[in-house]
Amino acid sequence: MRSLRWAAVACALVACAVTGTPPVRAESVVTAEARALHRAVPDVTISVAGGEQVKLSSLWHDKPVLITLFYQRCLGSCSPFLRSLSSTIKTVGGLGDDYRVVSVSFDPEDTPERTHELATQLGLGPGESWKVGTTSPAQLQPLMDSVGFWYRAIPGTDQVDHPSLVAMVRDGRVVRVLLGNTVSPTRFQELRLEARGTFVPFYAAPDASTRFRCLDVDPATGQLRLGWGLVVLLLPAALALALSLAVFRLARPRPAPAE
Amino acid sequence: MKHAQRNTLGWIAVTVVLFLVLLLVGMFLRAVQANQLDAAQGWFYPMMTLHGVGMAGLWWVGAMACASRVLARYVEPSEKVSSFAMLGTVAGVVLLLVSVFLGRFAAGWYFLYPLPLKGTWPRWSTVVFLASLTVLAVTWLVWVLDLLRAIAKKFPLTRALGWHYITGAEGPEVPPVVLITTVSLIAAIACLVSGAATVVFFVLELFTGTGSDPLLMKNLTFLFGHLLVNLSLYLAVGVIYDVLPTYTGRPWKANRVVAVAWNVVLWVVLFAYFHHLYMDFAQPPAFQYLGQVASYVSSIPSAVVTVFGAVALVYRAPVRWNLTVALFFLGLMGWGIGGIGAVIDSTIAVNSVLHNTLWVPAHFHTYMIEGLVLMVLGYFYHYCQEEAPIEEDLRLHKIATCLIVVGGYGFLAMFYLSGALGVPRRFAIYPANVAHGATLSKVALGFITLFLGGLLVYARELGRRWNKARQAIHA
Repeated sequence: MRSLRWAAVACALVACAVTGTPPVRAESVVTAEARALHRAVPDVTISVAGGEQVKLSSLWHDKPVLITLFYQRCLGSCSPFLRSLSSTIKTVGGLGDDYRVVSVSFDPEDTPERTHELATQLGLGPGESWKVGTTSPAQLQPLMDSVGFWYRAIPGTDQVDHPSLVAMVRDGRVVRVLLGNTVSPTRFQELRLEARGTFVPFYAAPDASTRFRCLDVDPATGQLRLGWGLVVLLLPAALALALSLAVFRLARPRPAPAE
Repeated sequence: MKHAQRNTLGWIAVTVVLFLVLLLVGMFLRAVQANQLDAAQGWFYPMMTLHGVGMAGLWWVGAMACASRVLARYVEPSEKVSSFAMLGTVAGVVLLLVSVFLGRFAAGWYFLYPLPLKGTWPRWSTVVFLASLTVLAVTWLVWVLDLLRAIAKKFPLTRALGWHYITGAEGPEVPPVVLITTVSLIAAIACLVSGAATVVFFVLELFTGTGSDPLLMKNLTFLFGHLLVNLSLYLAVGVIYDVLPTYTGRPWKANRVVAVAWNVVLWVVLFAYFHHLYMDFAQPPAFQYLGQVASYVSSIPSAVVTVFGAVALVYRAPVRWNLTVALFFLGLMGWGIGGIGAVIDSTIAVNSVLHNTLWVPAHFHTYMIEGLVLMVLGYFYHYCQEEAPIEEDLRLHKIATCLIVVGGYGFLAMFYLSGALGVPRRFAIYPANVAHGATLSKVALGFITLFLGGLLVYARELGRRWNKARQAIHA
């Protein structure tokens, strides 16, 4: 009776595994950041205050370009995000020879002058290395798609929901994306290295819910600690040794009994 | 005795028939890559999975069957366990076929985490695939333990491993096949346990949704996969140590050099798989260096000792070059050539360039199709000819051998050339910048057809003897 019960439980578990919906796990930031990698960025034209028209290809032909998207009326993350980016750029050495920055508004109501006003308020610059402006609605969507940007209206308000991201573009292709409302200097340095063509690996470190991790990363120091996963890795060899010794011990040839 | 003969003939039939089927599947893959089967492109990855898992498993059981039969000259493996192994293997293969043909499971032969859980195939096909692996791993583990038990009944562990040759102590003469098989079987336990552990982690995630550590999963998967293929080769090499002397009239005995070389294999082969993780930057660097050293040390001493021994054995010996001797000798050569390709590929600086190209399939196909496969086929022919002697037509043997060599190496050359030209592996269709991959696939198809021709001649020669041996059992 007991074995029947166990069999029923086992069958139910198998049926659950076979037919059930797989448990959904939240997408990690790293996965989202990796989605746009290597995508080609369209050569859109940016309208800057003062009537200047700048094609992206004219910017990335000699230097990588860092692209961000924002809108002037944003009451949420846009201004703090751009301020954070500006501050981080200054912290790691300021805009120099390495790259340019282009901030494009995704609001059709924004004008080059309005975006310039915001840039001045936030102290973004200098102007030659940091272009702030708008683009046409027809060019905007392909640009957003290429860097993995999106937005949707928040009902009952004049605001929109959107991510905050910076995308490093080299030779017209996305080489790295950073997501988040603030830009940390450490991660920004990785972005700069990628801009120079140095491969910087990035990956989701297994979190506490992952069982038997081989390594644990201390987020504060970046130091690695050995985890229980390495013990699991030793298990097959240890079992092989133990089982072999057991087999040879149990089946060992016995001396013939004395006459 | 009849039980043993029936089992061996059963293994021979299963291995040869499945080989022909899986070879055709392999030809299908190259035909898709050559743009010859556009309508069937959707089947490329399920068939790649079947071809890979099928071939790796098939030649493992083929080598085990040979080793088990040769060991029976010295010890007593259980024939019931051998029958159980065949039943379990067939059950595992049926489950695999269901997951691939009905469920279109297509995670590749390495089924790397988390792909089996993320594919476009239905969830049940992943479950059936994992069930297939479980059945195979458990069955083979029982088989391995039984062979070890049989050896242990006659030889203490230190003797079976030939340590008395190393220390110079007094001890019984240990046939090299016993030494090499003991080494391989002990490592096989680690191999099969790691395969089972991988399945357990997959199943836990299926049931609970709690993720596994990708680094741990990849390590476990390659500890299983790399070892399985390596150990299949070693088992077949052990068989050659025992059978080749019957054709040369000279003994091939264990000695200190042989014992050292194969004991080194036991301690080092467990770490050689690290070379599969060179691309994994999360793997601690010390493991990467260890992987390179272990790859060299686990393959070079044993290969050098064996090839040197084989050459010395046939040098100026009155050898009758029938299918067995020719295939054994060519098999050892293929092992050596594939091994050199593998050693090159396991060098970190080279691997970073070649890892994702067709160079990798090139080297493992070399030591499989022109190494392990020839060794096992050579033994199968030897066994059937011993059981049911029929006058040999050496002209026919030469034709079969030539077709197998020319067809096989021509096929492999296209892989090597593609790899050197940067053609990526695992691509069903080649994009315009590597379109030459399709042309080389087409040429490869021609060569593999020659190989198939040689195999059919071999199958005819083997089949006549197999049939006669089968009739003798029933008489």
